[in-house]
Amino acid sequence: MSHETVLSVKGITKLFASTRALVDVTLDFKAGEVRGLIGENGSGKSTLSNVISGQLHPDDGTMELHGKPYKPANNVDAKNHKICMIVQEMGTIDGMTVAANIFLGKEDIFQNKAGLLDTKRMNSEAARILKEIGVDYIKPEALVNKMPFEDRKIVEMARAMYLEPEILIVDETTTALSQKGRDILYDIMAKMKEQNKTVIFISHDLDEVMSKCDSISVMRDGSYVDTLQVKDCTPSQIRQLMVGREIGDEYYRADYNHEYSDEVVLECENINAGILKDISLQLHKGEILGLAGLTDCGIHELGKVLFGLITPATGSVHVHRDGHTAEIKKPITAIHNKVGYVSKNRDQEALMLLSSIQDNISLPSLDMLKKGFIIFPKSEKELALKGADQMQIKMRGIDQTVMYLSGGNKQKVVLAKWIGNGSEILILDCPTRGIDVGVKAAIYRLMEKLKAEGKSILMISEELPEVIGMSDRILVLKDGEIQKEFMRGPEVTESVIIEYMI
Amino acid sequence: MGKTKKYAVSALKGLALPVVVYLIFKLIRPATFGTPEALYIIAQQAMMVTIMSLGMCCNMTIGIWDFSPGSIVTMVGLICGYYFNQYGFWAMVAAGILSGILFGLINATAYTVLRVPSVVVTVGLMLIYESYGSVYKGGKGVSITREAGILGQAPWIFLVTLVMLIILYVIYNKTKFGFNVKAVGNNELIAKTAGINPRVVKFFSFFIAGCYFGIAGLVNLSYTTALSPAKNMGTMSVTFDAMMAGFIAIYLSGAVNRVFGIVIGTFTMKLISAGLVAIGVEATWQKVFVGAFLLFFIGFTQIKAQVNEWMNRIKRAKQVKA
Repeated sequence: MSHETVLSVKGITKLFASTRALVDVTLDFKAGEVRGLIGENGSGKSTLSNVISGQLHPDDGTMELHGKPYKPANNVDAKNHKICMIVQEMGTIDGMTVAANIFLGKEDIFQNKAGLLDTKRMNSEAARILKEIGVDYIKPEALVNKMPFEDRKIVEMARAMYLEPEILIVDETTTALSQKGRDILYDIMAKMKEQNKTVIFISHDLDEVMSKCDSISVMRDGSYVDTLQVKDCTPSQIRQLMVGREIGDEYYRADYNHEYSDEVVLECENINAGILKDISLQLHKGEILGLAGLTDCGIHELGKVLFGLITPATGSVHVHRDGHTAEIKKPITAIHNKVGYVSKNRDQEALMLLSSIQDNISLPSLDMLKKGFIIFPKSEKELALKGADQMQIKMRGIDQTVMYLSGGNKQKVVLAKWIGNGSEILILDCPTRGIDVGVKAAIYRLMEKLKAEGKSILMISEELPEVIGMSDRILVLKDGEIQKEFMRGPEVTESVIIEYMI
Repeated sequence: MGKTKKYAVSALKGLALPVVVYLIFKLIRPATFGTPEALYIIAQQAMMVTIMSLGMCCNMTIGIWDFSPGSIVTMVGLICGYYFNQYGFWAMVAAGILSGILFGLINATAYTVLRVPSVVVTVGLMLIYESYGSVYKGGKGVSITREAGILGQAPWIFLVTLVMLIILYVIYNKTKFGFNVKAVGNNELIAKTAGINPRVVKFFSFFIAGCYFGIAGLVNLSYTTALSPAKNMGTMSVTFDAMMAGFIAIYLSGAVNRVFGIVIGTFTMKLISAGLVAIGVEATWQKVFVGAFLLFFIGFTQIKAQVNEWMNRIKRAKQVKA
């Protein structure tokens, strides 16, 4: 198998206003390899993939595809050059069939001489592609909005694969997928490699990158650092290249204590709702309680039930604070009793994207800030500034729109709003989803600090290493039922927990 | 499920609504309401609104609000009447088709060039069209002979509507444009990244709408044979009729294709007005009923989801206890 260079990026520079997103980046991509592209948020890996896929135009530098100049006008032009990208949160179009989604914008290939579309051929062609990537249970004529999220993501993959790309860019897609979807994606990547094609794989999950890629290119602060062969390097080496300093083992908690008070602050009894079956649990003061399980096992629903977002069919949720008890039936009760909730769906459920950082941070604290019925801008600003400073949000100013912040910074805004509110109980649903190593570590440090202050955290996560690394106690859910309880300790490992998950 | 059976089930689901409406009024006024002759007249009345509503179909899918259809229908009617009196029948037909195309182009251009929300553009244009109608050729209104109104009488009125229906069915379900309309309507951003130009799609959507309103104007004049200019947004109620039919079609779209849903929708709306007349409701109150019906209908899906969730919770609680 030849390993000739397919795509060369030469001296690419891209500026956003005064920020240098990419600085003189030069690297080659070879045929028949899966190349990992890794770096912290803001390191420029997404910008680079957007330049390659034609969605951004570089300010300086050139690219060569098969030795010929390559200058895509837009993403459609890139697709015509057989370069396709699967992105993190893009999606399918509701109200249309699977086939219509796969051939979106390419319908003309099914046009007959009269200018009408041959929908039959469209469906059979879609069926062929779906079968090729091993998901023939998805029917071409089904409406996508009636399908689970996971399958819709697979339809997107089918859309990209239909074009038979020479270079496939996978941009942090796996964070949105459960194991089944990931396996399908990995199969596609392996197949591409077999056919001597190129995959550029962007992910925050270092273990995933290490296990799926042949080589890894590291980016830092908009610059290209180095490319390493996976077989000759270790994860800590790469982590070090990413941040430019030693991170060491202080990533998760170093201790194996599981000390917390006996005082129960939040509890639920006999919850039945959706998939959840008869769930009872207690969260204690100063405890980090981990909820582990597969995507659809009910952990996310449970978080919503505890915050009053989902009304259960039976059972109740109680919060105990300063000697009095309140039943949580609506989020407002939870917020008044200093419970905060960080959703897994950051952009849809946790942030007002078009509003400023200040508006987002101060939102749950408005009751606290008001004097009579007036909220003075000064006190709002102070609160927001304090929160932003505490969380070290990288921003131009407190009035910056949240939409254009990086994933890690967005999450900091979400956390700042609950901490600014003085929350004593935090329900964190996948708090480090789609976030780079640096911010991840900062969030873990914050959790430890909160625990030390006697605050309580319920951490819901699909990533076992962080559940094991951070929790005092772990509850494992499967099909909506609590399977097992683990206390923090060196004997609790991924393989032990996985047994109860699947 | 076999194909025939599937079609039969969807037809039953679609027809349930007009049948229920019919039965309600029939029970209240068994003697006067819904005789075969009356139904035949109702069907004829429904045709013009059907053509209008078919024209609005693509716009409604995209999420464009168009309040100009009624004023275009009136304006086209006035133009058609003038040309009939000057040059005869075929000039009238040509005037209807061509002025529809013209208004389609004006609407489409105004919307794409100005980039103002569709509600604002089309309300503005409606005021212009209505006012122009009242000064056009002296603003006295027009009338044509009964013989010239042949397109407004059975069987021609049904044939014209059928042709318009087939054309839209093909455009909406079997062309790239139709697919693009659905894509832009459901998620413009994704459509854009797939290489679809939403502005072009919207332009043609407005244009097609205009063509349909032209034909509707011609049919309307042929049916009524006399027409006076409208003012003070007087054309809004017919616009609303057509829009409501569109909403009914959206509601039925799980069972019946949107295009057929529109026909069921207009017929249902006409049945309701006829029913209200039959039970002796005043004209003003009829409007109240129709407005309330519209609000209820759009709100219904929301309420239904909530009631469903509530029922499910109770059911689940019972299961757990058992």
